[in-house]
Amino acid sequence: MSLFQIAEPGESRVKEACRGRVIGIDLGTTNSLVAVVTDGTPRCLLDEQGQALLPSVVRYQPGGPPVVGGAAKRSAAQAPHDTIASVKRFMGRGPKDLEKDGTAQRFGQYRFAPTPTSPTGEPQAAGIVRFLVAGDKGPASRSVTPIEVSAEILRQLRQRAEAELGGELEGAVITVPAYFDDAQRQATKDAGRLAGLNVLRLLNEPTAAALAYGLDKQREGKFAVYDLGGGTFDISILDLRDGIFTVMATAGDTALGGDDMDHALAELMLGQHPRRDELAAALRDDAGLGRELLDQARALKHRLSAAESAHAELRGQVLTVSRDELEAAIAPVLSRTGTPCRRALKDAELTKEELDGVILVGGATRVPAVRRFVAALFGREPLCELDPDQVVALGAAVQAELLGGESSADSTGLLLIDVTPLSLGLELMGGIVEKIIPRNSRVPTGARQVFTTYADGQTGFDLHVVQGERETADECRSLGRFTLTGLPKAAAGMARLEVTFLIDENGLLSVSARELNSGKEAHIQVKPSYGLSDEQIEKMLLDSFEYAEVDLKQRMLLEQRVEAERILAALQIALQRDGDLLPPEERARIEAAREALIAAKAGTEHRRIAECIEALDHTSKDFAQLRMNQSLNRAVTGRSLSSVEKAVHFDPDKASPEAVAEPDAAPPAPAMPRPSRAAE
Amino acid sequence: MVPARNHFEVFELPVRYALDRAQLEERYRERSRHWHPDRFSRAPAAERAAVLARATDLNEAYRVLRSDARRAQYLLQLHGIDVTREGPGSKLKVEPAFLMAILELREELAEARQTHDAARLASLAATVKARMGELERTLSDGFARLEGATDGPQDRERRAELLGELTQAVLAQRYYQRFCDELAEYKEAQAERAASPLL
Repeated sequence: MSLFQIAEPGESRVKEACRGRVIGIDLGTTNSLVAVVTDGTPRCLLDEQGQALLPSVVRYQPGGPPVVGGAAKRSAAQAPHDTIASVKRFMGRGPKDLEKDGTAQRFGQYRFAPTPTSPTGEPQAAGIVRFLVAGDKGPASRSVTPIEVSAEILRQLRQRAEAELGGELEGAVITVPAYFDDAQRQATKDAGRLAGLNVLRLLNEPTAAALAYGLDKQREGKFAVYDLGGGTFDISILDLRDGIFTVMATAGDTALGGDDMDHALAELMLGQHPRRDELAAALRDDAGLGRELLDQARALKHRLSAAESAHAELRGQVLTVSRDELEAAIAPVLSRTGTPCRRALKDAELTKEELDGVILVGGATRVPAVRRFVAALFGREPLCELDPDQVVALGAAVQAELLGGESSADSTGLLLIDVTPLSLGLELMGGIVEKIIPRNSRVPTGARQVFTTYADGQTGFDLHVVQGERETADECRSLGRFTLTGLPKAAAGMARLEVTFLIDENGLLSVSARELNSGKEAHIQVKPSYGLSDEQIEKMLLDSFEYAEVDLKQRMLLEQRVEAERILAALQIALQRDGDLLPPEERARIEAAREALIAAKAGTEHRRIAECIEALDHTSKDFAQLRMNQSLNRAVTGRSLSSVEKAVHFDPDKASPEAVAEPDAAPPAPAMPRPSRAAE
Repeated sequence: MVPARNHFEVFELPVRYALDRAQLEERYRERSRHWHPDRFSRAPAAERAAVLARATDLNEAYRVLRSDARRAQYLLQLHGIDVTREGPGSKLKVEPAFLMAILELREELAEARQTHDAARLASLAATVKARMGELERTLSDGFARLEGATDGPQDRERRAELLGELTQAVLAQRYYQRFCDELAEYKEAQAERAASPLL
């Protein structure tokens, strides 16, 4: 799909000279991606293993920079407090929001810095969330904000792009959920800045997906984009026509996604476990258990997209879950997506019959129940030809190219017209909100209000700005307080202060004010409710130089070390529990491979470590399978071995040794003849 | 606030109530192809600021003109009448007879909500819809006459009268709109509770 017009002779040379390397980034809850446009076609950039997806997981450790991605994700259960996953759910949120979202506490993974209190000891409602992770001074000695965590992910993608494109980047388009409020957007932009990126634009995810779909097969018409990600849900209705993509309406829920399905499934699994009360109690203190449970739940969810039933192992117990059970557990999550869909259609003044198509976006839409739900909801089969994991990044790359590439000034090129998702309001006396910019207004958009003073000699003004549809300020999202000063002294009611609110094309708010009588610009000090001030960001930029430019090789070394530690720890437990199952020669081979890995880990060659990991994996494969069969046998009583073998489909290639890790002592295995491998 | 150009001028449309939506849409698209910040992402700051202002004006004008209610309010504003100032302490007041009618409707709404009387709610919705339809015609006719009126002394009196009628109609529209919004919110809450996956 070629995008660009042939340039006029002479024009292209100038434009070529100005052209820089621009990228599109999908900063997702579960996975992040980076994409570029090459020869008119967008494509995702791959890592050294040939993977496009970078898990949005960051593992902090003392004495070095954090590890980002797959290695961090796989070792999460071992370092649950220091491994931050789904940080997007915390962007632009405050400690109070965490209390409302009980799930963060239920599978209790993170340690948070205590809520700051005012000088008089009152807890402050707003403020940014801070994770306490391992630092140079020991566990929980370092505090990081969600912005910094996100910056680590962005930095990794930036380096991937620079390596592939051969140099510094000119800019990046970063996507955000359409329903993100100003605080969440600002946090994303700050993260980009901290990661050393020039953020060209924040682009709404459904719009990015529509761009990718629109270009693919040159589609035209009115489309709904149903975007169910790891932690956020968006529904946008767009009109694609003559190269202009206009958003007609958007709605969503920034605390709803695949993660919630995982939580529901985890609860189900817990309920099925014979030792459920013991485990439920243990959850409170054992963050590793919580992490493990969620990891297992997610793996199960994926497997059930392809199979009617699947099993997982949790602390020595094999649990079997059917697709029907999964669908019952996630039904409430799906049903919650119905409300924003209704509202979006209503705001767009369309009926579902008037749509030309529905597009599915987001990894969670791979679950068959979601596809059926969307088909039923909209009365048609949804479109899903483009990879739901990649489509947003691809769209972002296209937009980046439009902004930073040759044809940006070309008025016949593609144009995106987006909207602000939430009404903007001011808090008035008595806590009521006055809406000054309605939701779904096309951006950039603005509003002006004229205020006057209520006391003689008053030289300043406080404005509390909120976003949302409710009547009272406390039911809306607080964006921040704007303090205007510098008004000339006058009698009450004499001053005429014109305040201008501007929501730009990124959906970001800026405020300016002018005193009309004198014509003077008022000075505005912004105190964001859930964000960082400019000074704080500057300080972080300075502090981060210490670890900022860790090169690719160093990063790979750290990743491999973390990976090695994880495998060695799991093997340790496996040998402790079931070492006696092994014939001596096999055990010796495994021990030798283990020693080789330990030696490699102490060195500085990341490839050597990777080789040793692979060798150890290979050597202990049979052992892992043996243990799995052993577990299955223990779980089943009163049934013949052959009937079990037929009923349970076990794929040895997918079993992971650490799935059977169990720190507590189990009763010794009964003396049984060695079971034969399950019949093919 | 009334910017240097009024919203109609932004689109080179005549200043009147009757509007061709398709034409508004087309003119919006033509202008946004040129006046959009994304077209100037590589331009110097001063140019970007100018485009931002233009684009903002364009979107504001579009928002106002596109909605019948807002367009009517805006036209009154151009005549110096600001309906948002309605309330105690203002000379702008809705007629008492209308106020009574609205209060009665509200009482009915409250009762119907409490007893979850779907039939009654449906009938209320229909009533309000019909009345809003009447108001729409009043506005359409009224503005047409206002726009056609010439400027002699008797016409000034007639004009003032017309503006009064139109103001009352727009005020009434605002009350009915709030009513509809509340009804819609109630229905939405019901749908959510029933978790009915229907659009």
